Amino acid sequence: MNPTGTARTAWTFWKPALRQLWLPALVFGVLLVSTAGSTSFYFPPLTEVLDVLWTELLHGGLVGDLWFSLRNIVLGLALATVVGVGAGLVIGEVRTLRLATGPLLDFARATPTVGFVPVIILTLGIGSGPKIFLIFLGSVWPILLNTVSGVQAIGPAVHETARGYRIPWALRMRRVVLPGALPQILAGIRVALSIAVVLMVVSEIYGSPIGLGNFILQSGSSFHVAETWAGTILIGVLGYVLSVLLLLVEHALLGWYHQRAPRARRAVRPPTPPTQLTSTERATSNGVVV
Amino acid sequence: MASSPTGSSPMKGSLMGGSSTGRVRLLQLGALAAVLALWALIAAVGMVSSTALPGPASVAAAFGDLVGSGTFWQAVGDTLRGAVTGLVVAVAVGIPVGLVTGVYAAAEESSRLLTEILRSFPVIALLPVFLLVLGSTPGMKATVVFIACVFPVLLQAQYGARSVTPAVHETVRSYRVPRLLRFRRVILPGAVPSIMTGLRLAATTSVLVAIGVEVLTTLPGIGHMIMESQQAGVSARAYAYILTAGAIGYAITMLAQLAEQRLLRWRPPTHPGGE
Amino acid sequence: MTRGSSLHVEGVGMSFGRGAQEHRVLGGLSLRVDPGEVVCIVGPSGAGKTTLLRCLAGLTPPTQGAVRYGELPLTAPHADIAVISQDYRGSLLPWMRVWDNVAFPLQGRGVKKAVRRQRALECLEAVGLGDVGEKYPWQLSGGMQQRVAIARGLAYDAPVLLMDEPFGSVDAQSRFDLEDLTLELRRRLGITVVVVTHDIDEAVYLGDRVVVLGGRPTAVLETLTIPLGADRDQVTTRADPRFTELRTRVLSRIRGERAPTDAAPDSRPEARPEVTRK
Repeated sequence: MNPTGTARTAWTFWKPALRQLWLPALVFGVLLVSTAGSTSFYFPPLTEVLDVLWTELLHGGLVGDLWFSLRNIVLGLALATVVGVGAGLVIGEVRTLRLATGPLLDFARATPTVGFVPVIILTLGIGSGPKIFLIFLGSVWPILLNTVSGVQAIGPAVHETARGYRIPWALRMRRVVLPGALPQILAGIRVALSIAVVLMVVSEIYGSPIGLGNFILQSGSSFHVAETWAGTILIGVLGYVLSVLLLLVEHALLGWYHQRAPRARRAVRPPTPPTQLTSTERATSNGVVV
Repeated sequence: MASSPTGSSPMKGSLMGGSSTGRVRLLQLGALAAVLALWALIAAVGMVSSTALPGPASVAAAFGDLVGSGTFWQAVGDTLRGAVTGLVVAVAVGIPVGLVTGVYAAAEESSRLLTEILRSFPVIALLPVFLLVLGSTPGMKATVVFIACVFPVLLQAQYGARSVTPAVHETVRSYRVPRLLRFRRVILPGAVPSIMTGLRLAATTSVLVAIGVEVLTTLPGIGHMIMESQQAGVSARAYAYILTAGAIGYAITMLAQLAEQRLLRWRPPTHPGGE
Repeated sequence: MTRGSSLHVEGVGMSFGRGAQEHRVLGGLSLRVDPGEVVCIVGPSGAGKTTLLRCLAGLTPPTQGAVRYGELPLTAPHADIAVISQDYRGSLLPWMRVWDNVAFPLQGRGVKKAVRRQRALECLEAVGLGDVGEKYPWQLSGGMQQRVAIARGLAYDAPVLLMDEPFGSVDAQSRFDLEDLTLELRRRLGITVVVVTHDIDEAVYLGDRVVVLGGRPTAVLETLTIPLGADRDQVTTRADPRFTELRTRVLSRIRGERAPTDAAPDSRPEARPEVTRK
């Protein structure tokens, strides 16, 4: 951040912004132009797709669909966060528990929650509840595992200090362990988000009366091509907006983490040798989708 | 306590079972037993309907039947084939592109926003569109897998390429090493640890996405079998398939970790792969 | 005005590992620290000085012998003892502001926020950092961070401060300031300070007594009294001929007993200088 002079600040902001925006803008422009006069059935003009999207949002029931799906995913993720962080903190702190449940948790993480969709939906019905449950089921593992990993990564010096000053257990969890594990926890939530979006779509497949996933499925099977593209774009936007929101939350909560020099960062997170749970995403959110 | 005469580490199990790895294994088996017992209890008590959650015994029985049948192995093969195809192409594309964008900052900046948007896009949501355009074919499954897997590989390769320090870059430049050779013998080896992490992530993703596609379409494979079994009301069989999928994913993760550890054993720990 | 009780180290030994792996780090040490004293523990690296300090702090119980604080056997951290570790970067919590860090042990005692904040600011004042309370640890230099750690020990109101190579990762100038700060705090507050250090000059400058560790397993080679008075000054004290004599004595004592990685203790007569015992 350049504090000297607003004019220079504006330029230092816009220069990198332009460098990052030129290619996406170009791609968008190319898409716009190349599909402009398209008569292909499967690739309607981008303008038409956007037009349909707008209409559906304003007049069709798309807002209702959007709201339904959004509500489910937020509730599912919130539940997964509470359970995942809570259980993760406990498992991370108690060494025996961590060692004992390691392979089980890895296995649970590796199981595709998508597989549970037919089972849950066909037995528990098409309401909100089962969907939220499915989203929860899929999202809880990365959060839990990353919480455990985050707790483990807290340097021994921190624990020793807390012990030396005889900090009581509850206070220690609240003000030492939880903040210390927070970077990893948030990375886990980021991964969980992408899983949650997928499950949100998939859970609406079996004749849910409303919902974004249902919308694109119905449009697809009734060959309303423009609507299908429109709905797909909307889902993408939803996912992107949610991840940006998460990024904002991260910046608000982790100001102390990001501002330090990388070397200082590693003082809190020393390189730990491979443990039982190395299959967890160690602060990576690099595109694990399902 | 039995310790070997050469005085080397008594870490591998001893006769008394007092070594720590032996104890850990025991704990893990205990945890597994506890979970199985809880499962059996919930199923027996009838808290949930038996179609929603069949007991472990019936699932085990169903699994036993499956392993003998040809359809099971065919389904596994279908899933794996789609997963592997997509994965291979993703790796072939992702590593070079990742390395290039990692080395040339301008390329990375230009592509950053696009990659960010595309990466957070739920690939499964593309399915209806893909169904329209490509139809319900194995090619479509492989394409979806490709799209899902290319990003972890790409981003990890990028991260790995960026981990090559400016000092190395300058040395290489001052010795006027040709570009291709530079990539092959400096950038690529430096990025290998991160790339291995990316491969691990992508491998697990490939199977998950393949199954996801099968659940949503009529394409053959484990996902399709799960749906079929459930619709026929034989949920024990569906669960058996789900556990199979989990086992495959778990096996892949373990193998990938093993490969990582062995291949990178001789490397000094530079960065924890994938921050 | 001194506070607190004496620390007694009675035949303390420390071994790690079992059976064929057993490694004896400390072998039957005994020493005593009286209230209001500054005792410096020196020795070659690897001698187990930090291990000894951890026993004194109640963080690691010794495998042989015992540590007593007054009459009480010390098996867990005690409310009267504060530890200032070597790695200040690791021990200051980065997500809390400086005042919060200093006040944190008090929160552990259930002290109300306003009260502990006030106390924290007072302690920061006492170490010369009255105006950094609102900052985050990463915004401070190494020397300042170490002062914050000291302030935290003060806020804990502990009559005994244990310091583990506290000024090791700090630049030389700051080190002098911090040494003087330690002496000043002892003068003003009457606290007891045990400093583990590998820096012989520092040990002689700070200490009322210097305990020299060495040998294999590590034992107390010697304890020297430093008769340089309570009012010390970086310039004059270090120029004092007695200072040089004392540090030479300590150095040769350490050198005479070679580093633990070498062979058996040196028994050659020329390696054992004349020393005055306590």
